[in-house]
Formats: sequence, C-alpha cells, structure tokens
Amino acid sequence: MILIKLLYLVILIILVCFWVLYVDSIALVMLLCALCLPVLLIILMLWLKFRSEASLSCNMNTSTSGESIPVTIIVNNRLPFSFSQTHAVIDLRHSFSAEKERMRLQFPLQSGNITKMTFYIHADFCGSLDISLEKLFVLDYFHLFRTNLRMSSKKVSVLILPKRMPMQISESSAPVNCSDSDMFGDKPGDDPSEIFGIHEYIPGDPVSRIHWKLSSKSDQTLVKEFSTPVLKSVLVIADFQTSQLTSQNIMRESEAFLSLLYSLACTMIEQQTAPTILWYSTESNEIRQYTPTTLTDITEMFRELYYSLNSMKMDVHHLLNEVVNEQFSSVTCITNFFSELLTTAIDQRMNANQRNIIIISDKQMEKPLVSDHSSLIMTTPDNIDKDVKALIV
Amino acid sequence: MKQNQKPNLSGIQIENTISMAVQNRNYHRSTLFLILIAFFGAIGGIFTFLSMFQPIYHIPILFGCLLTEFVLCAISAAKCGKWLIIKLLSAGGYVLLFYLFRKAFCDGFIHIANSIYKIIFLTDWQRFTISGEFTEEYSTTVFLVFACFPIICMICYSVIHFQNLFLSLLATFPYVEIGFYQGVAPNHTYAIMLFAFWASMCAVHLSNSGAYHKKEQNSFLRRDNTFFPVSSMRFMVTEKIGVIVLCVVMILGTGIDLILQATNYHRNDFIKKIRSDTIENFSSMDFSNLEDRFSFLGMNRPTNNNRVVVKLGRQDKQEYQNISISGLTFSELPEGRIYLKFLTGEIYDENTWSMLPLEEYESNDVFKLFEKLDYYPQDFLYENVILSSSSTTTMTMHNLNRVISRSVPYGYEKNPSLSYQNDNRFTSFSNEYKILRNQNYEKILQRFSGYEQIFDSPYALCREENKEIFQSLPSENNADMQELLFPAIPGVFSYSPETVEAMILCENGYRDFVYKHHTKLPDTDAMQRIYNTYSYIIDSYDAEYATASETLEFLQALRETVSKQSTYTLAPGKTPVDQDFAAHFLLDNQKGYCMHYATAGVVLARMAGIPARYCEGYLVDCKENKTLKKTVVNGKSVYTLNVLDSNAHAWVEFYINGWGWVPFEFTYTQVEPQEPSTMPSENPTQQAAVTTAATTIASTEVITSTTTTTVSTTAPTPSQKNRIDLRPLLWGAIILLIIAAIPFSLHLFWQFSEKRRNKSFRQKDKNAAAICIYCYLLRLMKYCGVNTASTKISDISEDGAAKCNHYLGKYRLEDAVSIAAKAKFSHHTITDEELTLLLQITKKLARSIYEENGLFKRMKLRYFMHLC
Repeated sequence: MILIKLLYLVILIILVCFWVLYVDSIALVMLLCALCLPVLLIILMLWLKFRSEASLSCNMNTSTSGESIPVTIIVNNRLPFSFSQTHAVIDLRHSFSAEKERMRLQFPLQSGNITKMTFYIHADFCGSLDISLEKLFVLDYFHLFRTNLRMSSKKVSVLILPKRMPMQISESSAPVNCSDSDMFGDKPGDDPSEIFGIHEYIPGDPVSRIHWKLSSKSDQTLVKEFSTPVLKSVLVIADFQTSQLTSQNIMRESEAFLSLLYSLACTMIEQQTAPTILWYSTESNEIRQYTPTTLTDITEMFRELYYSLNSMKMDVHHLLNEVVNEQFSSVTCITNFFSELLTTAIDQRMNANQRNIIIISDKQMEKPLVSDHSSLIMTTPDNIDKDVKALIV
Repeated sequence: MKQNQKPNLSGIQIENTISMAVQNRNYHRSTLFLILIAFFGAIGGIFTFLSMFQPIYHIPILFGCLLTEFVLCAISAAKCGKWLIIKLLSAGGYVLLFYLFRKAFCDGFIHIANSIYKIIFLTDWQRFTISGEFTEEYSTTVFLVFACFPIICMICYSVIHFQNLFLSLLATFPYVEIGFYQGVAPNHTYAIMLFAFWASMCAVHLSNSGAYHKKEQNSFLRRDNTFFPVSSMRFMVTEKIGVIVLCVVMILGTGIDLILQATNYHRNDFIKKIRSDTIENFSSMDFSNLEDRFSFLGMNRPTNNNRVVVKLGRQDKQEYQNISISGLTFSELPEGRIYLKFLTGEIYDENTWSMLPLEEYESNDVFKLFEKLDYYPQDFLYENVILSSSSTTTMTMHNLNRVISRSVPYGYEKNPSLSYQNDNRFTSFSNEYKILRNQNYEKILQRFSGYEQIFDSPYALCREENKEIFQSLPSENNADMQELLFPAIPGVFSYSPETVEAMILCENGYRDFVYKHHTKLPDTDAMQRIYNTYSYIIDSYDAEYATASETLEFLQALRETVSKQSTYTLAPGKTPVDQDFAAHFLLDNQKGYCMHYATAGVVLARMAGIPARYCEGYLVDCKENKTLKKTVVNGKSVYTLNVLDSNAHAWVEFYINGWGWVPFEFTYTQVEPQEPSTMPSENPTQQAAVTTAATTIASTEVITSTTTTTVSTTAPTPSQKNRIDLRPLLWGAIILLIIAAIPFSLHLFWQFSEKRRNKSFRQKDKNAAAICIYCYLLRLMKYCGVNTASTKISDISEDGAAKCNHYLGKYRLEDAVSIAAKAKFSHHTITDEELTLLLQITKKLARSIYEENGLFKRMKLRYFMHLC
C-alpha cells in the first residue's frame, strides 16, 4: 500500500507539473479531481466502518482429529457500494503446539448484502483449537486507504477429541468377597454376569441389554436387568510427561495417549462402568479426579485435561496418599514415561483385582518386571491400536 | 497453485475448500457495465483527439460508423473465444473495405496531419499536399472510420476481456498525448470522460489484482495460506466498482469544470511566470554533456600536471546569459581590447587541449635561469613593449569569480603578488595590475615592422652596439622612431649591459624550448588533410627567415582565408566522436565560434612552423562595453565596467622571437579595427608588406563592421533580467529524487536477498537446505564474535555455545552445529524436524541480535550486512 501511495503522490506531482505547463483549465480539473478522490475515499471508508460488521462463527464445538471443521466469516455490508478487496487474517492455534497457522483470505463484498465465507480446517491431533479473526479490513478502490471492520465475535474454540480406537473391555472374573455384602443375587444392579430380572423394552434402554433369545420367542422386546452390582470401581491413572509439546513426536505421543484414554473411558461408559480418571497437575499441585458417567462428561473432562496436559507429571507419593486405602476392581495406568516408582506403586501397593500398566513411548526400554496380577503393555504411538485391543478391568 | 511445503508443526491443516455465499442473490449485468466503461473510453479518447485538432468530417456518418464498430467490438470482446467465424468475417470485411477506400484513407490521413500541423504551429498553411481527388470531409471521415476501428477494438478487449489498465492506456493515451504535449486545448467534456475512463480502469485493474485470470476449476486459488477468488467468483463486484468510479469522476470533473467556468477562472501570473521560466530552462538543459556542464566544479581548470584543460566539440552550442561575473576599474581607459588569460593549451591531441607535463620544464635548464634572474617568459612582452610605449594604466578586478580571479592580462608590470611557475603557470595571483595602456599588440608589432631589419626586438636597442646604430640613424628617422616607438621613455637605455645580455640570453634559450614543444601536431590523417587544403598558404611562409611583421601578416592572411571559408555561429553542433575537431571545422562543417577559430589558428600556425598556443579567458572591449561608466574619485577619473559571461573567449598566442608570446585574434568577428600603417620604410619589400598589411586590415575592417553587430552584447531584456533560474531547483529536485531512491533501492534489494535466502532454506534437498541455513548461522555467529575460521567443528560449537547460547533461550547452538555436521559429513538424511530445529535456532539468534541493537545498527544489520 505504501507503494501505491507513493505512486499516487507521483501522479499528483505529474498533474501539478501538467497544470503549471498546460495552459488550458482542463489540467486544473484533472488535478482537483485527483486531489478530491482521496478525500471521497476516506469518507467512503469511514462510512463503511460504521455501517458494516463482521463476525466469526463455527457450528461445531467439538470435533475429532482429522475431521473437517467449517468456520464461517460473516460480513454484513449495508452500504450501497461494493468492495473488491476485503482481507481477513485468521490465526489458528492448537493448544499443544507453540506454532500457529496464519491464513489470509481475500474476498469481495457486494453492496447491501451479507457475505459468508466458509473455510475448512482440520486438526491432526486432539486438543483445543482456537480460531481467531485477527484482522478484517477493506481496501478502497485505489488501495490508498483501508478500514477495519467492526467485529462482533472474533474468536471461537473447538475441542478436538481424539480418535476412538476399537477396544474390548472385559471384566475380571474374580469375585470380590465381601462378608457383609448384600449385593449378590436378588437386587437390581449392573453386573452383566447375573440377571436380576427381565422387563419390556422401554425407549432409552441400552440396546446391549436386550435379551435377544427371549425376545425372539415372544412378540415383545425384552430387556435384561442385571443383578446386584459388584463393587466395581475402575481407576484410570493418566500420566503424561513432557516438558514441552512443540515437536511433532510429542504431539503424536499425546495423541496416542489421549486416544487410548478416550477410547477406554468411552468404552467403559458404554458398558455402564463409570471410570475414575485421575491425573496429577503440577501446576495446581493436586491430584485431579474425574468420574464421567456420560460421553458429554468425557468431553468436559478432556477440555480440562487438555489445559493441564503440559503439567501432568505424576507425583507418586501424592497418588499413593490419595488412593492407597481404596479398593478398586482394576487400576489402569497409562503413561508415556517409564517410572519404576510408579510401576512399583501400582503393581505392589494398589488394592485392586487387576492392574494394567500401559507405557506408550517411542523410546526403546527394557520391559520392567511386574507381578502376575498386573499386566504390562509397552507400545509405540503408531502401534497402540494393535497392541491395546483388549483390557481387563 | 503452490501449497505450503514446509512441515506443519502447528498440527492444523487448512483445507483447499472455500465457499462463498451471499444472502441476496442479485442479478448483475457485469458485461454491460464493462461495455459502458469501454464506451466512455472510446468516445472520450477519440473525440478528445478530434476536439483538439478539429478536422472537418461528417459527424453523423462518423458517429454511426463508430457506434457500429463499437457494438461489433464489444460483442466480440464479450464473447471472446466464441463466434470465431463472425469475427473472421468482420476482419475480412474490414480489410476488403479498407482496400476499396484506401485512396480516400490516405487523403484523410494527410488532412488529419495538416489539421494537426495547423493547430500546433498556429498557421493556415497546408503542410502536406493532397491529391484533391476527394473532398476533405469525405476523406477525413473515411480515415477516421478505418483508423478508429482498431482503437475501439483494443479498448473493448482491454476493458471487457482483459480488464487491464495498461492496455487501455495504450489504446487511448498516445494520440491524445500529441495534443496535450503541444498544449492544445481539448473539449472539456470529452477530456473528463477520458480521465474518468482511466480512473475507472485503474480501479478495475486494482480490484483484480492478485487474481488469476485463467479459468480454474476451483473458485478460490491458494498460494501458501493465502486464498484469492478467481474472476468468476468476484460476484461482479469489479465491474460495479468500475462504473462507480466512472460516475464519481464524471460528476466531480464536470462539477469542477462548471465551477471554474462560473468563477471565470484565469491562471495566476505567478504560475504563468513559472511556466515560461520552466520551459526556458528545460530547453536550455542538455544532458548529453554533463561533464562540461559541471565544469564549474573544476574539471576545466589548469592544473600543475599535464591534465586536459579543454575538451573540444562536446557541445552543440554555446549559450550565455549575459550576466555580470566581475568588474574592472581603470585609472585610464585602455586602448584596444583586454585579454584576460585563464588557461593555455599546449598539446593538441584527441580533440583536447592539455598542458605540457612538468617533467618537460624540469629537464630544461633555461627555467632555472629564469628563476635565478627572476625574469620569466611571462615578462617578455611587457619588457619589450614598455620600451615602445610608456603609457600604462592600473586595472583593478573586483567581485571576482573563481575564473576571473585566476585570469591574468597581457603586458602587465611585474607584480609582487604574482608568482610564476615555468612559462605558463601562476602560483599566486593579483587583483590589481599595471598594464600597458595600448593593448593592441598587432598594432604594436606593425609599428615596429619598419625596424625589424635592424633590430629584432625593441630591447635589442639596449645593446651597446645597437645603441650606436640607433644613434647613427638619420635624425628624422630617429625622431620618427622615437616618436612612434619610443615616445620619451625615461631611462630607456638605463638597463645595464649585463642585464640586457641576461635578458637576451634567457629569451634565446627559451626559443629552443618553444620551437620544440609548440610547433608539434599529432601525426594523423586529419592533420594531413588540413595541410593539403591549406598548403598553398602555409608553404608561402618561411618560418626560418620571417620577421615579426611577416609572421603577423601571414597570420592575418590565414585568418582571412579561414574567415572566408567559414561561418561564425554559436550553434555549430557537436564534433562527431570519430572526427578531428580542427579538421571538422576547417574542412567539413565550417561553422564555429571562437574555440573553433582559435584551435584552427593554432593548428595552421604550427603547420607553418610558428610556435602557437591556445588560450581561453575573457575578452573585454572597453570602448564597446555597454556597462562602461566614468566616475570621478578624488578628483581623478575612474572607469568601471562589468565583465559578462558572454565575454568568455578563446584566442591564439604565437611566439615572436625577441618579443615573447603575443596574443592574436583569429576569430574574424572579434578582430579590432586596425589603422593603416603610415610608417616610412626604406625597404620596398617591407613597404609592400606594410601595404599588404594595410589592405588586409582594411578588408578585415569591412568584415568587422558588418559582423560586429552580431557579436555585440545586448542589454538583457526585461524578461531575461527578471527570469527565475530554475535550473538549480530542478537539479536539486533530481538530486533529492536520487537520494530518496537510495533507501528505497536498499529496501528492495534487502527484500530480494531475503527471498532468495528463504528459498534456499526451503529447497527440496534437505541436506543442502541445512547447509544453507548453517552458512547463514555462521555469519550470525561471526557477528557475535565466534571464531568461525576454525577447522574443527567442535571448536566452533564450543565457542558458539559460549557466545551465543544466551541469545537462544531454550535452544542450544550445539544442536544446530551437530545437525549441520550431520548434513555435511554423514550419509544421514536430515529429517524435517531437524531442519526445522536448525532453522528455529538460526532465526532465534538472528532475532535476538536484531532486538539487542539500536536503530542504526539494526539498519546496518538489515540493509548492509543482510543479517537480519
């Protein structure tokens, strides 16, 4: 624009010289026209600034990695004049990356019309995606001046959930003896191994509970009621250690880590098991616990999880203080860093029927020894969906 | 379309899909808008031209034809690529019709040319003859119909199809410029239409900037992360903008024009004055000989080595402003013209005059003698002439400019302020001289001519033996001699014999030097040609035995011959580069001014064996100077006059044995009227020579009388007096523009080198890219004081880490060095991650260095060192 301004200045100088050297008044007419045009353009730009507005919107609050997200810029031009050069500068930031993507969009504005520009982005990794409309300005007809449009909303955020891996969750068959338990047999519950009762299908009942055999024999659709609940408290410990999330490798690892966690949590929810997910935040210096019961809860949990991913590093002592006295049907620890302390704590000190330790890392390391009632899976981010297909919780 | 090839570390991918939608889908007549713009352009351009030169044509027919042509071209441009057959048929029809009407077309062209000529030169005269087969109206109309068709075609295509500003300008500007350049006034309405068309096309062109015009399948085009809409996706905004601008400029222009008419606008006198001065200054500006134009900076000054002092034939013409550059005051008004010599040219070579090298003087002992006796060749003339004429006058120079202050008159009494060097140079100057009152040296020489058989120079009289001869002459001759040559000089014989002998010895020794160096000419074909042409005169002169008066007569005859074969003019044109200056003047062009005549005079004199030199300076005619004033100061009359720039002059100096260097006027228009010599002579040869001289003088006088008026200085006209010299301003503006262009050029160059560097960082071969980045990193490290000349990578790494790591924050320089080493020395292929890390480290270092420094260092880092 500076170049064009300089060029216009040169044209003005030429017109001044023309006016001096040329006797007829047409030269003065040209010069005055050239002087008045920028003034008119300034007025036009100011008018546009006050009579137009823009906003940024995105219909999707959540998405998954790799899924296309449509983002729309809406500009309302109330002026009776069109403009050909509207420039939008959009910044895209991923919560796990220090780098940002900048995108520039140029489009025309019709007079007295609302223009919607929709572009599509997708995130390679899960996380929180911030889309902000940094600049939105319009150039005048001769590119001498520009005006920024008023923006009613200039930032949107989209939560990118990880991809879900197919997983099988099986329950431990070992009963938990509880002498004062009145949980066996006759009380409704959610133990799929014991059927308490059968009732007709009511909309909202999970499809997985339909008793197909009986339903085929009768005209109605019958649903199983499970028996008294076994005390099933499933603990999932999330331990993701990194000093920074700048390299792609780290993002791959975090994607694999969160994908596993997400898949595990969703599968458990679907199987009517509410896992307790636990992670340690060095930032707030506390153990964070979250027990989602629905998929929406998981989404909210991940929203919080994303912001503390950088500072997750598990404090084993804190963990043991928090949960050492509790009983769990299973404890699953997902980590990207081999910590002997943590492994030992889980393997030997946790009170659980089943202990699973999953280490996700590209680094080559020796497989640590664990006891028989613990299972250890070492995998890489690329092979996680092959190595972790089934878990016993 | 290029997409971003660099590794994406942000984890976000921007897809190529972009869609644009509007709420209200309006029907836009985009092509009609463009046709309207093109119509304005066609009408504005063509009718502006016609209104300027007002040819006679049939309006309804022309308008109808132009309209038809316009419709045809507009449809053709709108349907570009289609209806090819119709276009071909149209073109064929045009060619056929053109062939049928070709005679009328040619006549019409001539009529138009005549119209243009009449308007420009304000005459009714028909410059070009016409066949007369057709009427002017008919032929002009035919011409316009056929000539406007390609113009309209070009306008339509440039507007409707290409939407290009430059093509539109090309289609309209050239023929309109013919009138604008000549200051012809057009019809304002059409001119405003044309101007509106240009503004509209400018807006259309700018609104299309950044878009591709090829038809692409996608609606938006992508370059890296920038998206542009294709033309078809512009939703007809461009065309609308063009029409808006067109209307606005039309309204604005028409409004301003009406206001100016209503207020009866007239140009200010000040503007008119600036205009006239600017035109005059521009017409006097000549860029072709800038070196000579800047000679005031000292390029033509005499120097103490053999540098060139004058470059000949570089200017087309010589111009003067007739402005006063100095003043002279005399106690007694001199007789004759005063030559103030500024420089002398001794060596003629390659169209230049230059001085003799100092080594020539150092190797000659006579100059040591001069120094010893304090008697130089510069003193010869005075010493000789004072013996014949004691009348002197004091000349004071004031308001000296640089040239006048270093100019020296002839025949001055030795002045303590003056200091000499060799025979031609001065190391200090004076502003006051006691000079011979009679400055007409030709006359003095002629007076002496009768006594040359006896005495070869006046001070030869001082010799004892000559004194006796003088005293033995008949008293009446003696008396004449005394009266004419030696009017009552007290102490004329007061020189001691030793002094006289020393003076004679100096002069004799100097003669050899003079004849050795001042009769030389380059051995070229041009000199040979001159000799061949003038040999009939040159060969008539016997250099060995000629007396001073014979030499003078010969030179006068030479002058007359040259004057008959040449014309004096201040605008003779430049000498072609491959031609000799003197030969071009004497044989080819035969036009010139004092510089030409003086050079020719020296060349011809040398050919005849007469030592001669070229001189430049000022020639002041005391009697004819219009600024001459007589005032009385302390009871005494004082004469003052101004030296003007037009008094600059060139003449010849030739050497006469015994007399020294005598000025001789070779430019016939400047020759002073000479009185015929009435001296008695016993020698019939001398008598004849005297008569011949008298005849020559008389004829010269005639010439002088007819030509003097052309050379006389004219009083400056009032407009010249009050003329504003805008040349310094113009030069200042040019210099300012050049100065302003320097930072701009620096910035452009920096941008260019940045782009090149970034391109090298992004090349496909990652190892090569890593090496390029490392080279840049090395430069940054060197700036930080790291010893990058070391052959050991580890040393560089260590030193670099010590000096640079504090700039890098979380990064480490060792990592960068190790990546570069891997790229250079191992078979390892650098990964994207490594390359990115290396680039990040480098950029971080560059940024830190940049931010650490102040403004000037930053400018230096960026624009001169290209580091940041």
